[in-house]
Amino acid sequence: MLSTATNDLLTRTGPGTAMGELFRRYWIPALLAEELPEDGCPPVRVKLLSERLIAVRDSEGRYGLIDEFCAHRGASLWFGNNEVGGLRCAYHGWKFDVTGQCLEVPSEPDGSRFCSRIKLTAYPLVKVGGILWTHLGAPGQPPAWPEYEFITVPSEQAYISKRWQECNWLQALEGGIDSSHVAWLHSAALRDDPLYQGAKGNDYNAADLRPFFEVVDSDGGLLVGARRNAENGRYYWRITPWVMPSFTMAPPRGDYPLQGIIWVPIDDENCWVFNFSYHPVRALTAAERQAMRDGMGIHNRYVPGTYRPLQNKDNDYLMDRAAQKRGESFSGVWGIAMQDASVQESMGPIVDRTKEHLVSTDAGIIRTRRKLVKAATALRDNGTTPPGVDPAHHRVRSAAVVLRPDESFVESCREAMMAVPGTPHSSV
Amino acid sequence: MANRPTLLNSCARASSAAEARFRIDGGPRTPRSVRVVALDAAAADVVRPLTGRRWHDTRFLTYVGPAGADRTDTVLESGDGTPVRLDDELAGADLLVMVAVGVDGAPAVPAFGDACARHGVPTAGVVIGACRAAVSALRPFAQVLLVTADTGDLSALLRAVGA
Repeated sequence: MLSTATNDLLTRTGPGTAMGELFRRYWIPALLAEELPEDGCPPVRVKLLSERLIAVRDSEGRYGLIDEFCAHRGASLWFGNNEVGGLRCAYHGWKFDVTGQCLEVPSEPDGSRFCSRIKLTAYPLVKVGGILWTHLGAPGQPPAWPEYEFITVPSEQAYISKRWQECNWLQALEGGIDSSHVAWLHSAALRDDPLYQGAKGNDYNAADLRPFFEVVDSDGGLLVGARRNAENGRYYWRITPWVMPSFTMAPPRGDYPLQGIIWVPIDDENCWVFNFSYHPVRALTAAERQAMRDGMGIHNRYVPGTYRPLQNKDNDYLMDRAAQKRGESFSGVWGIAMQDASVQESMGPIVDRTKEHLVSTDAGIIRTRRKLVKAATALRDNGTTPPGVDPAHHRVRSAAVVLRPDESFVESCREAMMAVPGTPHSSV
Repeated sequence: MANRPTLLNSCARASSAAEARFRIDGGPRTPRSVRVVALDAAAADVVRPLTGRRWHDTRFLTYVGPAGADRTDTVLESGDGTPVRLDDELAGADLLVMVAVGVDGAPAVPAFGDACARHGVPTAGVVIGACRAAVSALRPFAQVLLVTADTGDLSALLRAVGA
């Protein structure tokens, strides 16, 4: 349970809000690199943290993220022409470069310096891995670039997708922290999904539906360990790292790729879900890549030409009651991504946390909220840099291991949870 | 059934903000009866400031030692120094939270775990700091174990679960 005030603090990310300012301290994914595929390509409308922006890749290959609307009369620059050196508004021909600087006001006489005084709000946009990242903080020195392992491995070892989710970012993130739902909502996927099936860990999951949890602070956020019984009195641990503000990695299964998610607020009632799968030491197989394209694992199928899931609230997520009855899908919704999205969107655009009934096994969620509140208020009141800004905090991995009962997952898996280039991940 | 009209409130689109207004207001949430046990003296120092706050049905206790000829019960001390028995305290409880800073109370943890199992009471452990022995002792018996340097996490956990 949260008070209304705390719920608002955590869920509002527009300009001037405490959580919005927190997000503005990080590099966050803005869009996939594939959305701006070549120099001078069409611009893309992007809304992030309740700010409407337009992403541009100019004729020289420079990226920029600028105010969507022309400084002249407020027309959307999305209709503009991406010309040599800048984006020209379709309405009256004002031209802007990727820094938001106005280059030309055609109605002004030759020699006019008016345009030099016109500048749109602009943010940096950099390509790291398959993602274009932005920093929506105040102008000045942004933090060092992100170093999550999935954006540092060769491209043939990674697959990245994104989807639109129609609810607040926090209830989506909380689904990634809460691993106790996996054995219920996603039970069929563990059996049937080609990116999980056959892993020994699936048997432990299926045999023990009441996991114990251990929640431990880490430098960048939290480690949430879920343990189940294994053979000979040993424990099967699934360890999920959360790096502030919104990065998590699900524990792996067998030699299948690692996977994780970064949630990015679009506005207070929508978020982008950036999904990644990668293998630290080998290329993804053709079959794995095809499965991801087909919406397996944490990925999804799309309404053609969009990043909206094919299964969405307008079609009841293509709920299949017969499959539910046959036990092929616990909720009747196909696919892990849309199983999560369907229940999280059903909670409403911003879930009312004053009415929830948490239990002690929700400790990961409770601790996550508390860390977010603490970081946001420390930033607001004292200017304290929050955890997760330092790229050293990004070099983490999830892990799935079997340990003796007296072994601490934190100590036993210290190396397994560090992203060391060229080393295999720890998985059962 | 195939021709049943689809109203807004009978499809997933009803998750809009406008439709959220029609969610049933269930009134106050269900409070829970929680027992918080400090396993050692340092843990008692952490727990003590919480006793003065308003809670629904939460009692704060300190571990004293085993009880009974067969030592199958456990003696605790309530906030005013009154000795109480663990079995009595667990009757009707919804959750037991064991709090440890050091290792002094570790030998008692199995007794707490066994008693909770008998009464069907879920268990949680909070280790303030990072005492490895305390974590190891609590791990088999705490369904959730929170290891934290932040003493405020205990009250946050209690508030969140409706204590």
